[in-house]
Amino acid sequence: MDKREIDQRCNKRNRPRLHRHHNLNNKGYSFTENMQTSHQLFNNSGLNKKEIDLIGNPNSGKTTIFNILTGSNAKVGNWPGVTVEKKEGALINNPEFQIVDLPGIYSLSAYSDDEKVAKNSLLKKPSIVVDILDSSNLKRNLYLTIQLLEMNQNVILGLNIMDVAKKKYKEVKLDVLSELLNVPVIPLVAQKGEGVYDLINAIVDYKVHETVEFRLPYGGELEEHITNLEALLAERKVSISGYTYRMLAIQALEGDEIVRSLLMPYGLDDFIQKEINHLKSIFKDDLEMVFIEKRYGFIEGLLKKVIIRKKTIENSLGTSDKVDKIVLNPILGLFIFFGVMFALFQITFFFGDYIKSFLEMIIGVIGTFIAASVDNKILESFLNDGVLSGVGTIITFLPNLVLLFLLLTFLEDIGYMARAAYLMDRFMRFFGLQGKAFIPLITGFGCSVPAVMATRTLESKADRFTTIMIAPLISCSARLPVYILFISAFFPNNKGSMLFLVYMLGIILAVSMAKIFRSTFFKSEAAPFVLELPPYRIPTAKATFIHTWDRVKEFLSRASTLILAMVIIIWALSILPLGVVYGSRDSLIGIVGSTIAPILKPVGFGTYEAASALISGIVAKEVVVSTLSTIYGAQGGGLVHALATQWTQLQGFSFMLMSAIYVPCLATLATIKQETNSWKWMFFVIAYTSVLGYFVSFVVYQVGSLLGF
Amino acid sequence: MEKLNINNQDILETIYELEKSKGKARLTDIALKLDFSKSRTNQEIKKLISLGLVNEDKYGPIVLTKLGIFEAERIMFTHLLIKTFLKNHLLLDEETSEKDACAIEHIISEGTIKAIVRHLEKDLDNIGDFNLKEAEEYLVKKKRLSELKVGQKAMILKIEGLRSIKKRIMEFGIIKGEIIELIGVAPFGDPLSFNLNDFNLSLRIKEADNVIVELID
Repeated sequence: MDKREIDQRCNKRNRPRLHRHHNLNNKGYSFTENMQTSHQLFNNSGLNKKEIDLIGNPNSGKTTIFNILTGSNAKVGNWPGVTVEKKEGALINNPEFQIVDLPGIYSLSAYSDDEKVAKNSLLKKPSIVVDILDSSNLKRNLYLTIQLLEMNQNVILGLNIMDVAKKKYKEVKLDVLSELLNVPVIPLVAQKGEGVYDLINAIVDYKVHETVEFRLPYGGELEEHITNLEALLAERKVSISGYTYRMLAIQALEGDEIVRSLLMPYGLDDFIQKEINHLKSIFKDDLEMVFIEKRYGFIEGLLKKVIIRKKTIENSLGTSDKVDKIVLNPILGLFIFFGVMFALFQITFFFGDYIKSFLEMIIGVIGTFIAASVDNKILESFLNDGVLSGVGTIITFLPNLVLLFLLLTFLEDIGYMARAAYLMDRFMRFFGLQGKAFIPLITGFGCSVPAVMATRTLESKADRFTTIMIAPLISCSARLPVYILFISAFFPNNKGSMLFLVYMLGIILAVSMAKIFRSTFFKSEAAPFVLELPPYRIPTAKATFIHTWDRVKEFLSRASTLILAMVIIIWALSILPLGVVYGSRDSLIGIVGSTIAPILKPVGFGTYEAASALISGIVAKEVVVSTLSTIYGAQGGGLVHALATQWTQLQGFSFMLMSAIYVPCLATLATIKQETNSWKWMFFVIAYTSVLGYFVSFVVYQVGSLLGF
Repeated sequence: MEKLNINNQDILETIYELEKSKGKARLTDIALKLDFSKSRTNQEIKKLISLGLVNEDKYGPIVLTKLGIFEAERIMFTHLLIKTFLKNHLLLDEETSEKDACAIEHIISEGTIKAIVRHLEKDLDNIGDFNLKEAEEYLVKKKRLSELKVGQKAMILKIEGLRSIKKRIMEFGIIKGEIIELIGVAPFGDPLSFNLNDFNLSLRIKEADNVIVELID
């Protein structure tokens, strides 16, 4: 890129001043007249609400800045129609500014859901776009900035991680950057809170200047054709909201399908195609690639003026690279990885279960209190068996969830998650999945609920949904009591190997189903695996807690209401019609049990007892044991004896496999509904696990019978 | 990338030659030239398609992709070097030189190639239509990104492959002229980790295959 050219182009434009008010308190800001007038310029949905979109590359510290800007009173939800998380909140002390946290992305290509969401939000033209950059890695971070400027957005640049950049370079000339791009530039060290008030001031004081369009000079033939197309678009009076002529021209030449279809009604498509073919033959490459190279060329020219590099390049490795020599070592790295996973698992479930049993104790006490103080039998049952058991189900998941998310957030923030994905990628490809899917699946051995929630770390929808679908097949700890009961009853001499077999069956089924789902419902997008290995950073405790709290809050507000509702429905089915013994053969649920019992005949246990045990197991897997115990009127050794004498070994084995595979518990189902944002996938999981469980048990029982077991 | 076996390499070379001499390569011609059955040739070509080296239109000719040309030219240069050496320095006849070059080209090491070049450059500047130095550069310096050894640095020359993948890779900053270094290989040999500019990133071998680089010292 010709440097002079950049100068000329950029100097033509009006330049706003850098907004820096160092002596401001944080107690609210008075509006200047300018702000008032700019109110009218902003054309936003809310009357006086101004939308500020926060955008940036992953690992640029965007989330930390969002938390500071909103004072952590964010609303967490989903973008409509997709499972991408949407966070928004009011700017502290300035509630008229609504900050929307866009997904962390590297470019606006609109390939992934994240990018589509960001692009759509930007097309609605927010009042201001705050672009957060990692100053120690400006080249790649500026690519997104250039795309924003080319979209004609009102951009404020937040140059984060300045402390590292200052150590790395001799000088970073922010005023030059501000001048060349014609945008305010605010230096930040978000971790220490430095510069954040300057950023708030810049947002509040932002003046929409005489808009001189940012025009990256593409040079030569390419520029000529862009300008021609622009002129033609103007001539045809093309008007598409959110787009300037230049944007349309560039994106049309890049072959962007959305823009091409938007321009279709104007009858320009043949002309555009001709232009593309012509330019393609000149550059001997897809035009998209030419544009990318030109943009990077422009950035290169920009950075030559902005960054003064140190004369002597330090030869010693950075701390991060030194750590990686060990952490990413093919052998040591695996040991460390499994060590981390072991610790994660132990802390989540070992410590979690301590807190859990304490909470269960409290619920027990409340239950006894209700039983003693409420006279009305139905009301007492409703409170105890319905509400309290529902609340209990929710609460007992909390300790594990909180601990798991604290740890996962910590690992993510410190930069280890990307390394874990890197280390396990090859291995996870056996599942048709990528490296990051390992963590949700290993969590599944503890509990399916956090496992499903942990899929959040997977960016690709196909990966994420596949992992959610197969996570319930991994045997969770609640299924262990069922296995132990049946193994004790029918395989007293091979306890260890039978337990191993059941667990292995879960894993093998998960692998096979993953492969099947990958080749049917979730065919891989052609998105390649390009993974940044960010420098290690020490996260602030506050950020970690806020992030964890967001997750827990979401679980409490969404999944938990569903769990409660489901438990109360099951309760109603168990107590109706009025007067029957709770959950007995005469209750609705008992009738359902008797009805489906014959269906279970081919798999070996077509009895009311087995059917109702399975149904109750949907509430929570370990309830299978207590239901059987109620039905046979025996506990512990007595129950083992009762089963061993009344069931054949093959029946017991078949039942155990069924309980390992069939419908996941209510809490898992509710979480799947929450995470996939669709009832469809929840019912799909119910359907496919039932069919799969039935199929496996059927084969085992029928083949076993033929072989004479 | 999976290592190409002798058959793969022979087919690539044949398609390359046919494209040069006849303008296009048809399955029948390839099979005839290599004395393979049609179904076997078809199978081999399917593998090359899966490796992204060859494209095939239905019932149309078989076309080398840019990566395919890159691989074919490597084999061709190697072949030419060996043949010239056998003919000029070991004074073997044309037919023997050709036949043995065909066999040796598949297994020869980089060290031997360098040694042959040192030997040839004493009295030759060009082999066939090519400059000897250029041929050596091509064989010793030009690599796919996936072929780097840990610690090696290289300059990015070209990014090939599917459009969407190419775009992703390039938007990440992997573009012509950048210096990239292989810093590590994950357990089980894949993916790879690289340093580029101011950051580290990881690519699977499959993606790194699409990037052609030139080693720098």
